[in-house]
Amino acid sequence: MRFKEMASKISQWLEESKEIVISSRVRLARNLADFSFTHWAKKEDLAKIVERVSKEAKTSSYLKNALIINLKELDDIDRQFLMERHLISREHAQGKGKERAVIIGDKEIISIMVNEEDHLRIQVTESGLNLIEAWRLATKIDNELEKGLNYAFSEKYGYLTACPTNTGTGLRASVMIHLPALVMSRQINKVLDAVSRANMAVRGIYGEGTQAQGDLFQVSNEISLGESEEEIVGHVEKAAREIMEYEKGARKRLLTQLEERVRDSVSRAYGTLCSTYTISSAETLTLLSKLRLGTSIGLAKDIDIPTLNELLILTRPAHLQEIAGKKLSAPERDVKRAAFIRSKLGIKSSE
Amino acid sequence: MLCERCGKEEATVPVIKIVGGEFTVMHLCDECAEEVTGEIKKEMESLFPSFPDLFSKIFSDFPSFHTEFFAPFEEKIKPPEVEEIKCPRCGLSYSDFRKTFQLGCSQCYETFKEQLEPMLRRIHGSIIHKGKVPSKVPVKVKIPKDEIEEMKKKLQEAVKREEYEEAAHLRDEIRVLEKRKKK
Repeated sequence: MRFKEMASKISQWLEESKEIVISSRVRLARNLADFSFTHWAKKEDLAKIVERVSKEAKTSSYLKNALIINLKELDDIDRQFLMERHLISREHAQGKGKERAVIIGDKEIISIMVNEEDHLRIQVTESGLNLIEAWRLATKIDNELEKGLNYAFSEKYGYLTACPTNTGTGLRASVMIHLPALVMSRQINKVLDAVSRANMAVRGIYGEGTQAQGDLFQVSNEISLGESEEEIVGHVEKAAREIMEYEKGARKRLLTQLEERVRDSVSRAYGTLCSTYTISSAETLTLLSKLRLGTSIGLAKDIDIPTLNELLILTRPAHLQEIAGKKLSAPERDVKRAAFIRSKLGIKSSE
Repeated sequence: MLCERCGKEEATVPVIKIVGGEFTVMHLCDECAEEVTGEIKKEMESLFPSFPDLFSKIFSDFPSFHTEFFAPFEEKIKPPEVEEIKCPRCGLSYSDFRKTFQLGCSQCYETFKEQLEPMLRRIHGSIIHKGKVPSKVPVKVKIPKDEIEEMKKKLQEAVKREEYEEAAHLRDEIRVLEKRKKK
């Protein structure tokens, strides 16, 4: 384990996150023309790709102090840790023995996965609803990298990717969005249905195939070909704004129609978190979601959003283990997690 | 492909049967599909009286799972021949692609062009890139002339077959490419 220091703080984008839209992320999928795509490439070619991309990244002005990490050198907990921080995908964390790397920029805003499904996945994460900034920065990095890398590109189809679902711009724009009131008032399915009819995908917080926990969802574009980057980013941004309005409406209605029930559920969540001695990761996410809702509608005045953001990430299983500096069993983690939450909330409530 | 049940008519419908978590795909002609689904339906109705709703839902949702990416061109080309197509550069066969939904290299886009284009259109609603172009590719994007000629031929064929939706797509795409050429 090697991320103890990093594990005690949260990423900058999360530090500044707002109430409903937590973060905005843009990723560009790129491949090197001279090699087969990752899953079909030879081992020695994969190593060459890591080498070439790393070399090019070092020349980029946006990646001056970047960490270049070969994932093969990390243990399971380290890799899960990077996934919990959204620096790598679940697939990238899991690929066993494969030559692959991640390049992590200053403040964890930029991360480039090398040899995930595509040779490069350039990812930029910003706080709140800020897809346009994220896209601009990703494009600047891409512009620098393409000077030295020979991308697979077709005049007709655009950037060529391993999976045809990413062909064209190779762009995926996504927002992480917190929708507790829509979940509580059972409106969420209607909203998500509408979202998917607009050619958008809804996923859990750790991307494809993961569950929605703590009322957190990721909304992203499905179409990457035939629309320009500006159009795609614009569509997702617009969808996010619309969902946000629905969530705000649902919060208002909850407060006027069911104030006692909401107050009760927020207070109980707070009570449980303050007095727990062992708590699972899933329950933590559920209760934190209620507290976050509470703070944003004025029902949990003792808590602030930055504390909740910290609790959201630092209580994840690999974070607890990095901080402890050793592997912990699930029951051991539950005890550590409870102690950590109590200390965080205790300090706040005694102030 | 011929119907797997009667072996006479052309298979037009993929029917998916799910028993105990396992599902099998049968490629059937219209008539057999109707008969088979009718049979299963009766069987299920006798077991679960409230089954019809669930049944129709499964059958309306599931075929799309299969047809979404792979069916459109399979109607036109016989699958056994397609399965054997191999990319000359990386060696990936079409059946490899079907298994993983991952292409082998950039050349695969040319190798499997006939199969990929309808697929890309289904996924994205278009097959023509409209966004960023790497600085190394000249800004005046060079589209080979025969590419446009080929698409014009396809357009004529689509009109002959009275497939107007496809024709409209092709017409728009040709326009985009021609415009780009003139720039």
